[in-house]
Amino acid sequence: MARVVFESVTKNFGDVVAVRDLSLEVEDGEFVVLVGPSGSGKTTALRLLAGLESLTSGEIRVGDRVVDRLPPRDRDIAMVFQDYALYPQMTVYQNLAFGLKMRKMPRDEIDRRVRRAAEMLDIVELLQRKPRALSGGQRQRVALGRALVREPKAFLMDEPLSNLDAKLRVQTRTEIKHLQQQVGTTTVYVTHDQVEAMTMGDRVAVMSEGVLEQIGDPRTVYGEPANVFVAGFIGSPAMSFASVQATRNGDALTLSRGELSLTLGAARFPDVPPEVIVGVRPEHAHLWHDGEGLLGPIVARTEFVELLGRETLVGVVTAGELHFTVLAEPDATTKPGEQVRFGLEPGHLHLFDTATERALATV
Amino acid sequence: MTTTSRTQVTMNYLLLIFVSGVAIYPLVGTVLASLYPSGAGNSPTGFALPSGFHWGNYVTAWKVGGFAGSFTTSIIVAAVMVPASVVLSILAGYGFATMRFRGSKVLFYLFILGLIIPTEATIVPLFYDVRAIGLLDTTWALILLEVSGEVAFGIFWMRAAFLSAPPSLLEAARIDGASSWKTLWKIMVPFARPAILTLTVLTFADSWNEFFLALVFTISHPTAPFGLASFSGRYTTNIALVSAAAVIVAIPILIVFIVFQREFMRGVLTGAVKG
Repeated sequence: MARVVFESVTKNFGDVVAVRDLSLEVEDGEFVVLVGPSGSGKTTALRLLAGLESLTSGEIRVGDRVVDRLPPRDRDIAMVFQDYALYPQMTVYQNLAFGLKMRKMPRDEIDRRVRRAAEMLDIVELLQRKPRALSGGQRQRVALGRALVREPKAFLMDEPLSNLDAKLRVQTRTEIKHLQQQVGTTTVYVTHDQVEAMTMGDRVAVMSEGVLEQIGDPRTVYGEPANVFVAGFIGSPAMSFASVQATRNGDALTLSRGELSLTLGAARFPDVPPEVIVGVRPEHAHLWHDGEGLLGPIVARTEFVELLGRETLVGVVTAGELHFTVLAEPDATTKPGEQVRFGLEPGHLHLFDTATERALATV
Repeated sequence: MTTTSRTQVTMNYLLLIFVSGVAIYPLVGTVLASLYPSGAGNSPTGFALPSGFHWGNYVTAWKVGGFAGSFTTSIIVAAVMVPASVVLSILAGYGFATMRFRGSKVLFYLFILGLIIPTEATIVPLFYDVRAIGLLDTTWALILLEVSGEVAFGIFWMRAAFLSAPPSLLEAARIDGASSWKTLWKIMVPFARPAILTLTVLTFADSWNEFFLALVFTISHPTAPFGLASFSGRYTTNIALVSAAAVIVAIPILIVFIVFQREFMRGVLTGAVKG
């Protein structure tokens, strides 16, 4: 087990910057998820750590060692691939044993480790099978087992759940997290699925276009997004954004756009520029009943209604062409085209700078 | 929908039967002809069955063609040349498929050039070269020339086979601690087994059928097709004997093909069907 440190790591592919000045510290035993859309550089970052790509500049350390000049086999890391990359002609046992054999480990130690990993993953009865005779979920377990037997300093996982069906994915998600807690190995996990990131990571690192946008525990990244990108990427359904004018009037702050105007009062607000982007998560926008504790009412037209069973999402558009998603009760009756009124919860409006898109305040 | 697909299936089968017929007709014809009574004037016609099966033609053909000697030469050549070119093709194909090195593209195309230039175009300089190194009229000349000709295709073939492996397989092996050498023999060769066996069959067939190089370079060690060629002239009109000789020469290839048939088909179809 060890700390994993990226220090000012940059990777260029020709003229394309895949990872730009990435600095990131993963604590010993921590589970950090790199999340971002495709092309965000998260997989490249993982491959740099694995030694499958070489750095353009910067430094990577595993434990006390600088590893960025070492070949993958000397970095003492194990990786789980998206397509599992099991050796097709070998049995499950041989697949698990291969990495240990290459390290010239004594046979009885190999056997002990393989059997223990197989028991942990509940794949003992599969040990003599070849990968093609396994289901997707079983292959996934074998791939995990291959990492586990190595007892490495760090696990690297590259979207290991993306080839599983939805139900199995949820189940395996929990299992991987549990397994990691059990063995306590430092883990860097890459995914594009923000739900996976939120549920699995001790900390979540959000990347976009090669840049680390924010790193923090899931609650912080969700509740206090550092910028518009993180705010929009983390959370499903996504946060709604609107460009508005912000006016200070004594203690009050008024956010307005055309006829629409919301005044927040009786609190100390930080200085904000006259033009801001306001972001509101669906769970902080509600249909207007008695209006208690809400800002509004805002008159709008229903655009779409999504019944999710436990709740209903209502997409609305206001007079100034501002779009919001409102979380409504499951029995909400509004239909597309109808007029609705809704309100926003004060204390949960995220303000971002129009130019830099950086977070300014939550009001 | 069902009617269309049934019509399609019927059409497919008709086409396949026709093509198979075209391919099989001369073979069956040759086998039948080889069993006719030997000698001029007994020319067989089409698929007409001979009056009796004259197996003795094979014994005569074996002796007349001197196949005892020429088979030995051909087997020796194939036994050295096939493993040599397959191993060289595997090594070079692996290099071209998985390693980035300066000049790899140019080098690869240079090998491909070997596929494009016909042997006939280089035979004269080759003759002088072989004579200069003192290998003229030895089996080694044939072995070395055949290997050099065969690796052009072999490298091309093995490179494609290794490229079809998922890159993550190689990466997993690297992380697991396998060297390039171990990765090749423990992971990639088993992965590419169908392609390798197919290459083996094709290389053997090429080696066995080689006539031109044998004619130029090893005149005193005739190979099997060379034995067949000795029937032209004196025995040209003895269709039964020539046919028997042709069947004799074809039998080893047939055996090799039958032994490797399943893998051969898999190798040829790799990439044709999504697996």
